[in-house]
Amino acid sequence: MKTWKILAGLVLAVALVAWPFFVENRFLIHIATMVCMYALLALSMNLMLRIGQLSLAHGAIMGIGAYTSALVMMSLGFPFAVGFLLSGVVGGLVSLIIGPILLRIRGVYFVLLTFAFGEIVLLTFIEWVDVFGGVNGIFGVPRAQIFGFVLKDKALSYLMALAMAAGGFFLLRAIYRSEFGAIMETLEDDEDLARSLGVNAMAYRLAVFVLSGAMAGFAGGFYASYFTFVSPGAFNFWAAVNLIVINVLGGIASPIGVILGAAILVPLPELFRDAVQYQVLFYGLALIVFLKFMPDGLYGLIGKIRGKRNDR
Amino acid sequence: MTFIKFENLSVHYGPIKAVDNLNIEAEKGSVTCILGANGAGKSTTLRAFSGLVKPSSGRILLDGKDVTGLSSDQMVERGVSMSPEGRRLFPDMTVGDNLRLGAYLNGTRHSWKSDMERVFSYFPRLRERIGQNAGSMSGGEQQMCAIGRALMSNPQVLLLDEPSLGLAPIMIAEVARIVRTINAEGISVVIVEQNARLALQLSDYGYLLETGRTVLEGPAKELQHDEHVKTAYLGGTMAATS
Repeated sequence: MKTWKILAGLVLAVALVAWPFFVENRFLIHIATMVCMYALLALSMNLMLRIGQLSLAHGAIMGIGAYTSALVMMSLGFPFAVGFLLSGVVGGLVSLIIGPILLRIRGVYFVLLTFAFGEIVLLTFIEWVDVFGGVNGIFGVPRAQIFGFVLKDKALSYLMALAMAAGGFFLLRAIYRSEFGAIMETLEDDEDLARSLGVNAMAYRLAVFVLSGAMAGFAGGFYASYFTFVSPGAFNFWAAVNLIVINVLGGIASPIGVILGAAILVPLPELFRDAVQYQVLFYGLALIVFLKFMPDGLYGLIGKIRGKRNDR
Repeated sequence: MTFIKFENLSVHYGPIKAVDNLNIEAEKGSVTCILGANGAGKSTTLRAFSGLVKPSSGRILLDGKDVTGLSSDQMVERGVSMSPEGRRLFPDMTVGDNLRLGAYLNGTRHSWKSDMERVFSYFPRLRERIGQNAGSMSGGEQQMCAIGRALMSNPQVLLLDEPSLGLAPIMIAEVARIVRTINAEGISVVIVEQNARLALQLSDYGYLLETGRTVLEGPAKELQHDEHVKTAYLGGTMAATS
């Protein structure tokens, strides 16, 4: 069983890395890249959902990462590596600064506060035209460059996104299996009880928020160089809502569920390209159906089927 | 020697005064009970002691040191451990994991194995249940697990909030046995109870709270025979005549 699993994992990994070099369809590779980028973002949202604090600021934090990377490269003239690194660092740093204020508040108030923070960030992008380029944003962001090698080829961009998503996935899996993960669970379950055991709840919340913000920031840094263009519209609160939808649909309980959610939800709208005006409607319908019939998401459904098989 | 001392302690929830100018003293190795009806401020007193709420005025002294306003993790580090009301556990975690979380802080984590053995010596049944989800146990077993978890941090002071609440009489007797055993090992116990009879039997000294104020205090033996306590908390005239 164990060797079988390792073998399957290896085959899957090789397939995920190799397929774009055999497939001519660049659009397909683009979609796969988006799946990976959204997977990373959804994983960062998963961290927040795990401690029961739904954040609508994640679109804005991703935006902060994207603008950071774009400006560091274009205005300050640093290479991509520096811009990309700083996109994550600044994403985490912003979370570290606003975290102690926002995280004091729980439930729906936290959601509203993060929404307000996101709007403030967006307004800053829009109104501070000299720096952020206003509604038009910033054009001509340099492409990603690794070891002096420009990622012009779609397949290479895909590989970078894949590496980021995989990194996020294994990081979260390791965290959730560790003691840190157990304490995150206690925070969501019963914070008072966790505190009475001596858990410094605020420190844990903040650590989760900073990690989550850094992941969103990195995704933003990737975004800027992939599209070579950033504008405020991409980072509004709908971006965060999409991440929540991916989580709910895939299943919050496991990082695998989150990946599944991204792999299904990101390509979905493309099927409805001819009926763009119905996309949101379809989104809503799909959500209702999913919540009704599989409240634990796709991952929960897989668990159920497995459980039944084991019962036999 | 006074080990625990509350000086003019007041706690507010917004504009509401839950605890009003409370003075409590307890000796090292003693069992102290805080009695009173619902809303008298008993649980708030414990929550203030364990750092879950900040007092609005007054001081809390532990072994002569001012610990007022310290956070809950700092209080656990100083040896104050609480088993909150309603035998609260993490129901989807195993009994073993629940216990291990009790030894979460650096000071005790290296010794969690021996601490767990000690808890099992108090509660042999928990050893049988170690891999079981905590939420699937009976009420009495859950209460044992909650008390056991509070003991995992090797406390000097154990705070028990309504340990007998909702338990069958046989389980209440078990809780009483445990409190005596723990106390015999030198751990000071502060117990908050609505079951005044149980609490007074276990305690050396008692305080009676009404709407946040101490209305009566004294050695537990005297309180057991006090007319006010008898009528209000020990089943009224029945207890007096029998």
